[in-house]
Amino acid sequence: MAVRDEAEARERFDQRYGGAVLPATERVEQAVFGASYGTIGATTRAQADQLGRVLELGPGDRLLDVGSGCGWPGLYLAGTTGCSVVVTDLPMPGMRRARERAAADGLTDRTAVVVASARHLPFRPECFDAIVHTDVLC
Amino acid sequence: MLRACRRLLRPGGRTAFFTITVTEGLSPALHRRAVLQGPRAVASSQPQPELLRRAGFTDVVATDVTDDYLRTSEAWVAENERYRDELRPPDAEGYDQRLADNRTGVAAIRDGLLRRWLLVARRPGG
Repeated sequence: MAVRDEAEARERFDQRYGGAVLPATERVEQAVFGASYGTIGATTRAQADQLGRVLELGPGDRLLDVGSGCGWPGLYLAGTTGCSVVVTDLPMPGMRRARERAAADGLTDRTAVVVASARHLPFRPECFDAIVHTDVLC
Repeated sequence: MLRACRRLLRPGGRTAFFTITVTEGLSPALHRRAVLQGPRAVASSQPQPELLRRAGFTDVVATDVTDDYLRTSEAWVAENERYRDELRPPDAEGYDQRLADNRTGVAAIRDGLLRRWLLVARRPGG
C-alpha cells in the first residue's frame, strides 16, 4: 500500500472506529459474524477459529495480528487458544478500543497493543510463532 | 509486508491470512468493474501463493472461501438495512455510501468478479 493510500485509509478508519458502538451495531455483528468487536471486516467467528486451528495456536505461543482494527481476530484468538498476542494498526481509535477490549476480556497480561504501519512493523526478527492478517493485502 | 512477516516469524512459524482478489481471466471491462466494486486495495492484489513463495515461505496452501464471503456480505447488507434507522447517524453521508458500496460489492461477488482466499504458509526451518 502506498504512503498516500495508507494515510487515506487511516483517516477513513479513524472516523469509523471513533464513533460509538451502538447496540444495533453489536446485534448486526453478532448476527453476521458471530462476534462483536465494534468493526469486523469479513472474517466470521468460524473463520477466526479456523485461523487458530491452522496456526496450531496454544498457551505460550506469540501471535502477531497485523491491521487488527479494533482487535479482531487477534484478541479473540488470545481468548480462545491461550496464546499471547500483539495487535497492531494505525488508527488510534481502533487501538484504544482494542486495549479496552483486552482489559474487559481479562487479556491484559497476554496482550500488547501497538500503533504501527503494516509497512514498518517495529519488532525484532524471529520473535513471533504465528502471524495473522485479515483482508489487509486487498 | 509478506517479507516483513517472514522476518518476524521464528523458523518453522506459520502465517495465515484472508485476502480478496479479482477473479483471474476476466475481460478488461469486467476487471474494471471488479476493481471499482471491490475493496479499495483489490486493484493491487496479485496471486498470493506466488508472492508468498517469493517472500521465502514454504508449504503454501490456498483455500477458496468465496462462498462464505458472499453469504457474509449478503448478511451484512441485510442486517444493516434491517437496523438502518438505528445505525444511520445524523450526518449520514458516509454511512449511506458504505452501505451502497457494500450492495454493489455483493453483486460483484455474486457475479464471480471477486474471490476471497485463506492462505496458509510456513517459514522454512525450525
